[in-house]
Amino acid sequence: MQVEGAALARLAASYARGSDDRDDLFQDIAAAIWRALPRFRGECSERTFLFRIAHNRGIAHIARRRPPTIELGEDLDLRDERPDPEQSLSIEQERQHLLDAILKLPLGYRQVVTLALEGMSYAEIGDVLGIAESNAGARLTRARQMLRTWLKGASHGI
Amino acid sequence: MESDPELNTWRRQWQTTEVIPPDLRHRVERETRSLRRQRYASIAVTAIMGGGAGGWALVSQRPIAVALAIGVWFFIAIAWAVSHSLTRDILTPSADTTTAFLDLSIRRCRRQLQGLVAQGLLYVCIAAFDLVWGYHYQNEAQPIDPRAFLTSGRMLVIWAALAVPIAIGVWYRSRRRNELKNLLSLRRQLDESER
Repeated sequence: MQVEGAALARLAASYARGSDDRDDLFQDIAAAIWRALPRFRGECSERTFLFRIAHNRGIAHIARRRPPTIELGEDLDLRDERPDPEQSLSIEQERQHLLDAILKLPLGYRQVVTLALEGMSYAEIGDVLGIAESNAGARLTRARQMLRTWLKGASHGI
Repeated sequence: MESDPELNTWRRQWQTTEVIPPDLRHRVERETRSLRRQRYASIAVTAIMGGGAGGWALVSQRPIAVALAIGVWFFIAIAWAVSHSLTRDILTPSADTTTAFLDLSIRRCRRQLQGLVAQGLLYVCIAAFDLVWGYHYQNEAQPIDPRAFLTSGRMLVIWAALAVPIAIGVWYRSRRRNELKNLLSLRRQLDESER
């Protein structure tokens, strides 16, 4: 938990928007991991085990809160409404755009992207989510196409 | 995936996304609420004490009441000036980052310690003023020797009561100093991990 704390907090941020909501989910994940640890039999890596629990809690959280998500192909408005006279994005804004775009991905894509961004391989992603390695790769490719389009739009302020 | 520049850029951005620890965020929010409550309490004290003393002076027009009103408003003005200078820049964090939240907590802790010193000085001055005023008020009704006034039964109760805020202040100061020590240690750890 100590090692993966930051990654799990980022994962919580990909499921919950507001800071309170995010904190609640993070606490929920931590509690679920604590309860599940005695059941860990070493059938997969500890990291896979932790992320699997965290994603399950994230899905349960979404089911409770029903945040707005969009369907494939739907246009996104990722304009930055903060004052930005030179139309250039700061590092912080870029991070925020990335998080906003990830939050708007369909759930199946969002999960794959967040795990890939934590440095997991297709095999590990497949392990965490219970999907085939090839499926993980395909989802990531489609998710990246969407992110690319949205982030390009955001950086041009359209 | 390792040699993918686009994914690596996003990965860098994603992995440097700061998520403020819930405990720290809650602490800052709790302190902000407390600062607001203190501000409302100060307004209430100003209205009640200042209004009461001023009203009494206007109605009675006695020199002793006027002296009290002047004294009360003098101390209120000092208290507001000190409070204003101590609560400057400590209401909101400068950014939505762990460092900014931690810096705000450290700043608040330091200001509270400075505030405690200012409150202590003000407390002594107000207590001295009250004693002098109380003696004159008493003396006006019935002449009394200063020594007899200071050692009267009622004054002994007041002396004992005066010690309570001092004891609370000493306890609060030591608590705040420990908190500041912990916060500074956290800040050092954060600096070291960023290096």
